[in-house]
Amino acid sequence: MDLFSADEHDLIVELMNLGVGRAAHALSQLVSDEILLSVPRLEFISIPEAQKAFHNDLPPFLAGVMQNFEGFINGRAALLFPEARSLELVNAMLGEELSADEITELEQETLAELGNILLNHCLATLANQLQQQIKTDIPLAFSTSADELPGTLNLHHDDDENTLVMLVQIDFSLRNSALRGYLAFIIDLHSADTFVTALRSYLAELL
Amino acid sequence: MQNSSEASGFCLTEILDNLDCTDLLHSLDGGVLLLDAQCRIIFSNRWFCRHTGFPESDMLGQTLNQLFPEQLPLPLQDAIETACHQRLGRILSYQLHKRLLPLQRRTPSGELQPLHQSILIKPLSQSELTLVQCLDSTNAVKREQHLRAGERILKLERRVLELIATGDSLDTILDELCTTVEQLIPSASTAIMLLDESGNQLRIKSAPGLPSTFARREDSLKLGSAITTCTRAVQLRTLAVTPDIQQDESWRPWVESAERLQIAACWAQPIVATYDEVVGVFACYPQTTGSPSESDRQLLQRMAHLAAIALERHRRMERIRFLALHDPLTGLPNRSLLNEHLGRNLRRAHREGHQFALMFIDLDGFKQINDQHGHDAGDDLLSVLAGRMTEQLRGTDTCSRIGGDEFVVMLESVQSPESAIQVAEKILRCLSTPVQRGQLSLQVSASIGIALYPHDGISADALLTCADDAMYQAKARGKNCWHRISH
Amino acid sequence: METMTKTPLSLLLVDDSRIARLSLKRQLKTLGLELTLLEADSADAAEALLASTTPDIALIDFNMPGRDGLQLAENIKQHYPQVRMALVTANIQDALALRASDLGLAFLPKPTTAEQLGAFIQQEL
Repeated sequence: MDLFSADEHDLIVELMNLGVGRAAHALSQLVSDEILLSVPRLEFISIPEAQKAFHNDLPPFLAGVMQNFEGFINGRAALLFPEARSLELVNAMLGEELSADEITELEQETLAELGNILLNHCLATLANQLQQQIKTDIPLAFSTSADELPGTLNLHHDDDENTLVMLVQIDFSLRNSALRGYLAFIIDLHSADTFVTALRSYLAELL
Repeated sequence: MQNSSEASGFCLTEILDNLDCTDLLHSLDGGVLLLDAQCRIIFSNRWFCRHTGFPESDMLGQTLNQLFPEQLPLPLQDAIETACHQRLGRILSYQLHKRLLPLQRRTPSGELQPLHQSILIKPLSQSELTLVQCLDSTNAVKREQHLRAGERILKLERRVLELIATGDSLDTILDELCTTVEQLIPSASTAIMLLDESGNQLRIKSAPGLPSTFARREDSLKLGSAITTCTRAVQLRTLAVTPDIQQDESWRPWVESAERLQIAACWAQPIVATYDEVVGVFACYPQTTGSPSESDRQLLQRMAHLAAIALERHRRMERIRFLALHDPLTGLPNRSLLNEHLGRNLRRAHREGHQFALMFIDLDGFKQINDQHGHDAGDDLLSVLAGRMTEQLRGTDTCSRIGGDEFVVMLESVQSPESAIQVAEKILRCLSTPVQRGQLSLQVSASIGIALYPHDGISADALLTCADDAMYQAKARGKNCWHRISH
Repeated sequence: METMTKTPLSLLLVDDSRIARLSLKRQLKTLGLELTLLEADSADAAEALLASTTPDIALIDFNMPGRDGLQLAENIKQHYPQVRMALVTANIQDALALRASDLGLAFLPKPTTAEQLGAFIQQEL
């Protein structure tokens, strides 16, 4: 991508790794299990392309938590599970067995807090490393289909084709259970100047 | 249409512009605080004042930590600081944090109860302020608990039915029933009592949550003499309720032990089996006085019904087991059960080093009676003789019918060969005593072979063969006598 | 910190991220040690290097495309038992640290500090 050099690209992945590692540490303590993480996949794509990526990479129905952030980067972060599996995480955390028939208000809140802890860890690490400020909104639990995900995440702009987003996807799973999930960070690039500057000054220190 | 919507749109903007925001926040049914960058409260709505008991003036300028010194859980403190200083929004859910702010709410009847809550902490855009929103989730928690209870009952029903299907022990199932009710009706103990065979005495069968002393004390509730909640339930065949045992005359003899066990009331649900037969009582002992709610009643009914199913199944299984291991004509143990007892006794005798005796008994002249007087006469004779033999034995001995007119008696332990011989002689006498059947007097005799453990054999096969051989020798020696092969 | 070795210590950095390797190298430089540095961006590349030269120390990232850092470490331990290793990772879960220590690896959480790296290398001198 023209917008970011190979080193900047590499740096973003490395910073994401750092944030997700911390988040996984927090999550592993909550669920008393080791969290296995994939290498973050980083793409700069248009919104229709993002839609295609969700369609290809994610299970058709999703339950998740989304959180808006703004500051040196703006966008949404989402923690996603195949629908009906999200409760397993709540169960693993509360040590109580609930049926997956319906997700109640209290579980929604719990799921939201869980996503909150993970996403805050990631975003805070990113901001701290780049010595920048970021502000996160309170999280929101939702369930949706992969195809409707861009709508749920409020991705659409007036000019979809020409709006680029940075999509970072990380798969994770619990070592001792079949639960899998996805972390996605969608970062708006139409106001990415501060981000680019922050990345460059970090690299300048290094190179 | 367009005009009117435009007009209303215009009106709405105007209304919103002129709306007093403070007023709006005060009228919300939920807590709203605004914190500055140093976590100090700069606004508190009325809801917060109402539920903390602090007037607004006391709250302003304070941090929540100063307001509730050493009462804020760490995650909440962290979340507030992170939000105010680093602008990261947080949600703290009830399920992960059972205790957040020490708030109380008043029930419709005026009692104070802890307020279950979840807290949203949202850094506000375009300002340094942080919004703390406290949601009263008490009702949601109640709904959830209700749902959970329903689910628990369903799960339990499934589990009990499974246990019943897999033939798990009755005790396990009944204990499980008691434990579940104790979970669903908190601060209550439970017991399942069953009517004994005579049908006039209740005995505790399961009470996992009560000390064993209680089980002994209530062990024998005679239906006739002492009328208690439980016996009333049996007699009236319906739920019997004693809301306050202090006020109940019939509880007088148990008041002291009830106090020790913190029992304040007693609700007893009869357990009704098929054919409307009351077989026992499901008793619930709450720690506070009062009558069961509608949902409590339903729960007790369902649990009593499950207990009835489990009991019924247990009885049927016992019956099947009995039939599989006994001779249908005489009711004596059959060869399978004999083998079982013999095996067990061999292990015990080996372990404890005692002697025991096996006797092979064959009737003399039985075939002629069958031929002359018919099978019915033969069958009757066998039944009577089986009864007579059993009378000669101790409860721990086994008398089994292993063929048409062949019996095996096992004397569980003998001091010496002589005591076995004594029993053999008593059996010979009782078997050769004539049996009166109408006008007929039927008489047989028996030949008995005796084998002693360990002298004549140390395995079941060896002992049975030895006793069998001895019996044939007794026959050869003229019948109506016993014989033991000398080694 | 003063150098105490006569022959320079050789050190292998395995990390798929060039930035991560750069940052490690920068911190190592501040230690003032005389080091021969080798770099690999994957487990496969590291093994190719090891075939021709055996370093004293290997700093290995955990989360890499292809085989992960522990799989590589296992292999190194088997074929080049003299190499001292540390797992350098942002994944700071206790379970992972435990798996690393079971293999005899030190565990250095990312982002590393020069002090931590120095302390680890000092131990190996």
